Amino acid sequence: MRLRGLVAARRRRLGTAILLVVAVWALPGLLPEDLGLSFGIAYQLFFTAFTVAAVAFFELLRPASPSPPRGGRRALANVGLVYAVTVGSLVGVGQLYPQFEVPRLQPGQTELSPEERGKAIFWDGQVACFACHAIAGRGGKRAPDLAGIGARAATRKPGVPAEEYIREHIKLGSQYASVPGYPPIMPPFAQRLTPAQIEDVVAFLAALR
Amino acid sequence: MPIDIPPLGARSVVWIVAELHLLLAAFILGAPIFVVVCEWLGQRTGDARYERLAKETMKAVTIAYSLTAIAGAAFLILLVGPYQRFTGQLMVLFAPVFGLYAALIFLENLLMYVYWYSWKPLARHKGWHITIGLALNVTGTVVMLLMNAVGSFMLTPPESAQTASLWEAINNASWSGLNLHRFIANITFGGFVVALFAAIMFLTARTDEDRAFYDWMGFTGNFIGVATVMALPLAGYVLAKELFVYDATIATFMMADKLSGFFVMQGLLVSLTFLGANYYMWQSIQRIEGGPRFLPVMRTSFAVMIVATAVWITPQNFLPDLTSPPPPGVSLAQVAIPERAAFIGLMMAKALAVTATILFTFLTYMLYRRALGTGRVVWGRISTRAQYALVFVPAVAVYTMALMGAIRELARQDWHVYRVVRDTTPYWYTPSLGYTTAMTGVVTLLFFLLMAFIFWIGFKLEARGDA
Repeated sequence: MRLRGLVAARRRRLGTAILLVVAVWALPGLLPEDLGLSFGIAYQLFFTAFTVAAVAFFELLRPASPSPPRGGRRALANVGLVYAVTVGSLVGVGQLYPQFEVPRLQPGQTELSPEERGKAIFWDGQVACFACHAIAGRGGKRAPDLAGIGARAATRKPGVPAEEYIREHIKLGSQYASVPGYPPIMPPFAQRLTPAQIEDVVAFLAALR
Repeated sequence: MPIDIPPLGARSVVWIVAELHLLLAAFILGAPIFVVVCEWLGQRTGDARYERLAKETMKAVTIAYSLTAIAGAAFLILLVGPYQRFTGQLMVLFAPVFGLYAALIFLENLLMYVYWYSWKPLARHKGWHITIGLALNVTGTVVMLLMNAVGSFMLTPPESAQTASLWEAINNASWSGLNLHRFIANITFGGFVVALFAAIMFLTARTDEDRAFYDWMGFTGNFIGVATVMALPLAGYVLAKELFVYDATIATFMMADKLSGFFVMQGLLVSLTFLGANYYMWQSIQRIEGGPRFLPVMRTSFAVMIVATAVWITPQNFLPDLTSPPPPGVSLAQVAIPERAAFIGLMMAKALAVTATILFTFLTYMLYRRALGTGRVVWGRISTRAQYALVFVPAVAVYTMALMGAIRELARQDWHVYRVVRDTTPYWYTPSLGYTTAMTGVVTLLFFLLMAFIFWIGFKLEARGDA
């Protein structure tokens, strides 16, 4: 009787797992697109793996009889196995997580074009323009998205060319200009970046048209 | 770089040895706090199990002291080879700190031997023995504070690092945050490692009496680990806030850029630690005669923790840093969270998830306490699965410590001392998450082998001799 109960419980859990996984894959297609909740394939794979692991965890919650361990050596081997499988699984998660090695700008690197150097500075963790500004949706939201800034900058101040507007804005921050709808939080970068670095960032941003 | 160490490379070799040294150091700093508290509890309550627990743990600590010293010496030798110029600069800046460190290490070893070998002679003067234990802990803590000063200085040096006074260099922006975090984490770690020893001893015990004792020991070790691990997320926030206030770009680099995937991993690891510890309690409550009636409530609490884990580890996007484009043929929408669900990827949602996990862990212990009123506890009558949970939790805890140590070092980016001394070696770059998790795996397994050695030499070999 007990065995039958166990088999039934396992079938129920397997059924739940299948149902949840089907939901993860079918829901994005069923939900209206304007709801804005259609997760991409990376998330679907992620949620599938998570669902399977969660159901496996609940499988461990079935009652177990308090039985004395069988034999010292076997128990020790099991201890080693549990430890190794735990560590191996964690390493596996790290390996499967999407990643692409992108070397950052090396000190003194000069073979890049000004636009490329400017791009590297923009995305560099130490300058962190991206912390406030996005480009085409990627980056911070506290300041304007800079996609198309090369064209827009020419219209900001009458008679001021795009490059000059961008350059002065970087140097002086919000003291030079502020954009309606955003708080005036941009710090001056004249002291933090060298003139050559500022020119590189100007070249990069002016090319965003 | 004057000397490299092929084929792994100097950085990876230093990485492994430094982390092994730190893990062993965490054990010999955390476990004695646990030991002295147990000895004091034994004296106060008259429960002989506390005395036995304290003594058996201290035996492991004495062996671990030698291994820590060996790993420390190897770490120093490795530093003065590939990184001799930078090590020299640090030695000059922190000369008095290193001098005091050497003197205190000597004193700490002296106190450790006196504490261990005076156990029997001072059996009738417990107050004196506990005082020696306290002195050992105070010395060990000061040793940790000194080395934390050097480590935190490398990440958050004072603004004018070249002209800063010694005290300014020591009392840098992240020193107190690191001290708090490591102090609590060491006790957590000590508790979980004691639980690991207890699990192994339970599984290999030959008598019911031993099994009952090691069952109780595992429960106590896990309890200390869980009680302190609940404070760790808060201590982590304090440290992260100090970094954010010092230089927001460090925080951005960690949370939104190159290290963001590492923090997804951290969320998974901490959640697994809590789930493992709660699973052990699920098994533990069944050794209380009326305990099983609380299992349905616990099952619900597990469901909440699973949802909290899902929220915690769901990332804003699957890109490794802010410069990487989506893979060829994949649109950004496929690898980034939808706008409407973006709140799940924000810090507030993660903090809520951590809080829920902590609260429900607390609830688990409250249920256990409630269950104690329903019947007697039959120590030793527990499924072996509970013991394997006590192996799982330390494995995850060691892995977490090793990964978080790597994150703290990698937060310096391509600097030895952030914005003061640039790393000009071939290993200046931030390694990928895959490489880091593999390195962390190697460190975690090597640490287990060292623990297995301590267990074999301290418990099994000696027991064979006694027999």
